[in-house]
Amino acid sequence: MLDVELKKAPQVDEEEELKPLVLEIIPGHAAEGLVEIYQPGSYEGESLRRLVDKALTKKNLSIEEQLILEDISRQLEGGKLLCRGQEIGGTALEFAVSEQTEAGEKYFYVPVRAIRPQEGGHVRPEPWK
Amino acid sequence: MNPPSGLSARNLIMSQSRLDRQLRIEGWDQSALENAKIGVVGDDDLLASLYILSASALGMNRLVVLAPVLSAQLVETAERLNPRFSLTHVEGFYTHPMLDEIFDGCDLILDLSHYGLCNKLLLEKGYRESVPVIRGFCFERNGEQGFRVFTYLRGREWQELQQIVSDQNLPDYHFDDGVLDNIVAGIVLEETKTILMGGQASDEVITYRRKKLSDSQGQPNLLVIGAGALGVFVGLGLAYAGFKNITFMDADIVDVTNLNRQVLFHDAVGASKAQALSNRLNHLFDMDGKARVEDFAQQTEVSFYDAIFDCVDNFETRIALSEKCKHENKVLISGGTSAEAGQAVIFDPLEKGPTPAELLGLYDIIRHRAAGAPNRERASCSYQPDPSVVMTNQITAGFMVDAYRMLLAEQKPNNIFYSSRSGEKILAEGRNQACWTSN
Repeated sequence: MLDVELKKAPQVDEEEELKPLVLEIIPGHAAEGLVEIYQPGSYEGESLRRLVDKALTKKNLSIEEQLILEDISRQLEGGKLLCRGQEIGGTALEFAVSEQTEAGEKYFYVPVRAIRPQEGGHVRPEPWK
Repeated sequence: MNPPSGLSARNLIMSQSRLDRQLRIEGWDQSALENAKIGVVGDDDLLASLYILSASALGMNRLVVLAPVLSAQLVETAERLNPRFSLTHVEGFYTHPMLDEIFDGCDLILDLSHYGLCNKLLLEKGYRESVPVIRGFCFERNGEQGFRVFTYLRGREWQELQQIVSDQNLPDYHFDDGVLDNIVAGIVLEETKTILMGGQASDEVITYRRKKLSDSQGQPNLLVIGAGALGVFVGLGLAYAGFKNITFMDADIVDVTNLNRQVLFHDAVGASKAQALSNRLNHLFDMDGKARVEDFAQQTEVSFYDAIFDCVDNFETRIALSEKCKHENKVLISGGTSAEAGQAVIFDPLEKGPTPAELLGLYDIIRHRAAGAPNRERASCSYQPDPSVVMTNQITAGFMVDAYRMLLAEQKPNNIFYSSRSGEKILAEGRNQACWTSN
């Protein structure tokens, strides 16, 4: 999460404005995720999938980021990345919502969640532990 | 453990078997539930009664309820489900502090009422005596319907409390809804369990809301596949929502270990689940429910039905159902639960979106599982049932039924992902851009 409080703004006619893109990959239902910021010119033509892959393979993570990444990895063992309930096909801008910080800095925000589906109370064979 | 007086050894064994699936959960403290005394205040016959039913299934034994009326049928079911269940029902409203001695010795109090005087009296009692107060209620306001749940603990004198005190001070007409009540009862019970077991209660107001539903929904033909825990609560929710033409499909029979969550089967051990569920709901709701005692397969005929509820307990069948509904252009409401989470995912053929199996990546999961199978087969195997509890099934089923009602009202329901462990318990993930920009 950014160190400033994000404040959702109504969408306005600013599609052509150059804004950074904030990608947040969130493990399951957690409130905070791994945040990657892409500057204008670096993300427009990229697929969301590729931006997510870049963020997940980023090096030099802080300890806090590493813990979040481990959480994401755990969710992805039998889970899937979804953006607002959709598969993450297409470009990042297709999923972006315009927001601004309290200081008035505008950006595009794309939240991606690693969600593990639940199966049910099935009785299945498992190896002895 | 010594059997309590009056409880035969056979009953004790039955009780342990009945609770088997939740006793398997790591860190589970059944005695904390069994020994607790819970106070409940309600002002209609539904929400408090649904809570009583689920609390009994979970193995809670002592409830004191102050409410003008309770559902006799749900209370009777609760009593038959759990032989040790003891309910003290005081008829009336909570309108004077003198009444608080009814709740002496309670470990926590639930406020399921809709009048401000009660809300304030209980918050004051909670503050004065350091008793947790869990507040849950449905609301209708400004063209929206929904529910809120908040757990008040002393020290949480937060602005959020304004959101949970009813506008009207005295008991009067209020909006109520059996489907949303089921979800509220499940979330409130989850909070109850968490507090009693020494866990961290939710520190946010849990809110769900959507546009008000239109009154006319017709009588579609519905197929509920899977008559286990999820199927029971989907059936109950559909019945409360007024649907009459429901067919339940399941080849399984009721086992005693189902009874901690399959709340309508207390006298049906050994019987067909589909048959028992349709019979019980027909009796309770004057419905025309039917049973198909069979498993779902690709060749299963579904053309008669307008919508299908996926309440199965395995990904393989969930994939088959997704493919069938895509092929036959059927609405599919797919649910899945574990002991601590659940999801309700919607497939509307008119939207041409991914099926639940596609969206959730079930094909990959099955492929990886198959790749790991040789290793598993080499090992000695035992049958390990997954842990299960009543709450996640009650909550997920409620969201499934509500999603279907929204579709009928031409609203766009979100996929819902519920987790009991996270701060953000309910994720409503939109299925299209119009949905998420308008939230």
